[in-house]
Amino acid sequence: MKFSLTESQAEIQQLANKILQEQVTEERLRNLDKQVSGERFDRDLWQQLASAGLLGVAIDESHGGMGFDYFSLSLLLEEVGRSVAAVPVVTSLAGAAMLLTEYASAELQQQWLPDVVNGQSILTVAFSEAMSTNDVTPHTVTATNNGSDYSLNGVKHYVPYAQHAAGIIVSAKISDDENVLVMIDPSQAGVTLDKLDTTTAEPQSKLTLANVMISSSQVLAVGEKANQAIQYGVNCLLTAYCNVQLGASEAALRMTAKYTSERKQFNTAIASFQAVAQRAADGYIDVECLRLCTQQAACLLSNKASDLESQRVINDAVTMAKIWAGDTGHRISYTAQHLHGGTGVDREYPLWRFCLLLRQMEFSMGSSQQHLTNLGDRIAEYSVSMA
Amino acid sequence: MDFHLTDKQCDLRDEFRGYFDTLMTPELVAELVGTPGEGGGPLYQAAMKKMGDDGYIALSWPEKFGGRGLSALEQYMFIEEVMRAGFPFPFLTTESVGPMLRDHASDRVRQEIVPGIVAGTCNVAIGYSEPEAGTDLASLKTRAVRDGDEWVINGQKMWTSLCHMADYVWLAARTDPDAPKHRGISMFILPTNAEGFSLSPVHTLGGVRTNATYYEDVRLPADALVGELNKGWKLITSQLNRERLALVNVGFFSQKYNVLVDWAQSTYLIDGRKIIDQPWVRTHFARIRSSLEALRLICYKLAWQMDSNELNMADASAAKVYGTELFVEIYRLAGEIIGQHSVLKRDSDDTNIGATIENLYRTASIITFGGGANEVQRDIIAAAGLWMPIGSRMS
Repeated sequence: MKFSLTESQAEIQQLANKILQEQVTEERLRNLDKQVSGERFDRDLWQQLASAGLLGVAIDESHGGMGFDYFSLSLLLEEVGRSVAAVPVVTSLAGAAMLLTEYASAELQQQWLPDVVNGQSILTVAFSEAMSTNDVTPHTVTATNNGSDYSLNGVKHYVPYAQHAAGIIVSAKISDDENVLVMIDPSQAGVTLDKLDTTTAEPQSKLTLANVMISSSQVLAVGEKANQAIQYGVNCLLTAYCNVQLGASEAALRMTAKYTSERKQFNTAIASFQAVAQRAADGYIDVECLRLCTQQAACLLSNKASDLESQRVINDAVTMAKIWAGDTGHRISYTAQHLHGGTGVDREYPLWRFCLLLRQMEFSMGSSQQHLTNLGDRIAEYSVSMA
Repeated sequence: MDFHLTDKQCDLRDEFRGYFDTLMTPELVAELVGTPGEGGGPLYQAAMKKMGDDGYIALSWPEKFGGRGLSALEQYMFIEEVMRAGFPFPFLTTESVGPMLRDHASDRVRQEIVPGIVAGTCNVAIGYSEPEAGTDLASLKTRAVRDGDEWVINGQKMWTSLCHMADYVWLAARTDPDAPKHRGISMFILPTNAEGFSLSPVHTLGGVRTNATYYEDVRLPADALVGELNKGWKLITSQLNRERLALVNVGFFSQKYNVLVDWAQSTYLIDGRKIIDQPWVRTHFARIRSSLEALRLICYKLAWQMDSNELNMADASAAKVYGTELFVEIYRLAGEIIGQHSVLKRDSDDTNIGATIENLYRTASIITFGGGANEVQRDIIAAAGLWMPIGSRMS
């Protein structure tokens, strides 16, 4: 047990914090707010992060990255949440790049990863399907085998940054017990993107696939390997949402503590009212719970263990972190808004963007209740014992 | 960051777990059921003495004092196993009072008491609270007045737990009534057979007996003073973080969770389904499990912070608030899973699953205000963790 960062991790955190806190100013965020709805993407910031080398934190040095693990990437994700920056770190780095790194052929890695590192290409992941109860298994998107090629049909939902992506990783069902994971080019014949307007204005799309032809060179994994890859990708994405939620929750709470310490009513700082202090203290506890469960999940994801028992420990840790991400995000958001009073909902004051982000992270790839249900099913199956 | 125990820590846990598996004989378990939460029976006393003989009482103490020099994290793991086993180990005596006597008492007192604590034969009760000094402990009124070579003690203490089987009271008394309230308190060690000392039992909702204790012109030798005159508050608060950590140790419920899941997986409802086949039961378990996971990590982080001298007061208070309120909530969720059986004191079947919760929910009432009321802990979090001005509440 060790709860401190290594020297290199501390450097990554400080670098990410410095760039994001300096660059993501209120003015910059307001300019983004003026953009067309559903297009909140800060391309210049993405290039600045690339120049600092941060997009390659968890990408191998042979592709120009730093070669660290998921945990190091998680530090960048947390800082993005803390600054409400509009960049595709979750889907492109924690989702697609981690999947390519762990599961793709050398050719696919060489094709995509160097451009991810230098900021030229954004990648995304399409796992979610409408009305699905979990995002681990593809149901309605199918892959029909034609020799060594596949033909893809169906609809994926909530695909982040799809309009800006050079490549989309898609999961599809071949048969009841066989899945495949492929990389598609959005300009391929049969691919349609319909823009979705999300609460944070993050670009998302509905992805419709109509007889999209997939050659063998586009296949990341098939069969049992695809199932493992999908589970791994889901774990990386869920943990990434938790990382962003952690940064955003902590920022909103600190903002609230500062505001209530300065805001006077009845001739005294409202933070000195016990009811106000107590509610903020509950927020502090929530953030600590989210922090520890998230850090544990990020740490476990960095370990390469594939036996059933280790896999279960990782899946359960990720699920528990996402339960906390939903609950903490919800409670922090309303604590912050309530204790700010009218100021909290005024778009001249920065809190509102955090509240939108907290809500979006809470519901991305499963609410707390959905994950509680998943965890409960696993407890029925294999107890999820306490050591 | 690393969320795994080291091999050495795993070995240590196995050792502790094995030790308590042997110590907790069915006879001892049966005796403890009759004296919930406090021990005191002949088999309990024999078990304490055996732990002393085996060197298991002062594990965190330095080797020269008969301990094994365990780190705070290793000591936390030990308490986790103690609680997992359900043994009412007097950790406040061994972890809080013992080290203060060892480090600050006069030679006579140290030689008289400390070896007994390490051997498991000497019990010390804690005399802090008074009828009018609870969470605001520093307002205590029990007086110690110097008279020649002696101290004369007068006053009353409340909630002096375990005192009816203790050899001494670790007593906080006011020695300077004119000083600001935190600066006029000193610590004393008082034998329970001293003239002028008496007690009366207080029976609690949880079935645990505690005591009111009375001090009427009790005369103590000068060297019964422990530590410096009027510096008692510093001694009292020096062990608070360790006490708070022990109070919310996840070992209280970790094994009970395992047993409860096992029971729900293997017990049938009248309609043929298993208990755990009910969707709401699964969600309840998921709530319990994910909340316990957060508590487990909070406790380990706190212990690790103690070892690396990075302890933040806000985190110790956060652990206290979160852990104590979680236990109350978990005992409700667990009770709901078990159903009306959870208000039975003795089960008609052999599982005793209901009786466990019936006992736990009653004894849990004290934890949210004991060890510093949670409102005050939240004030500490707001002040030390969020830098909020909390007004004049805690002067």
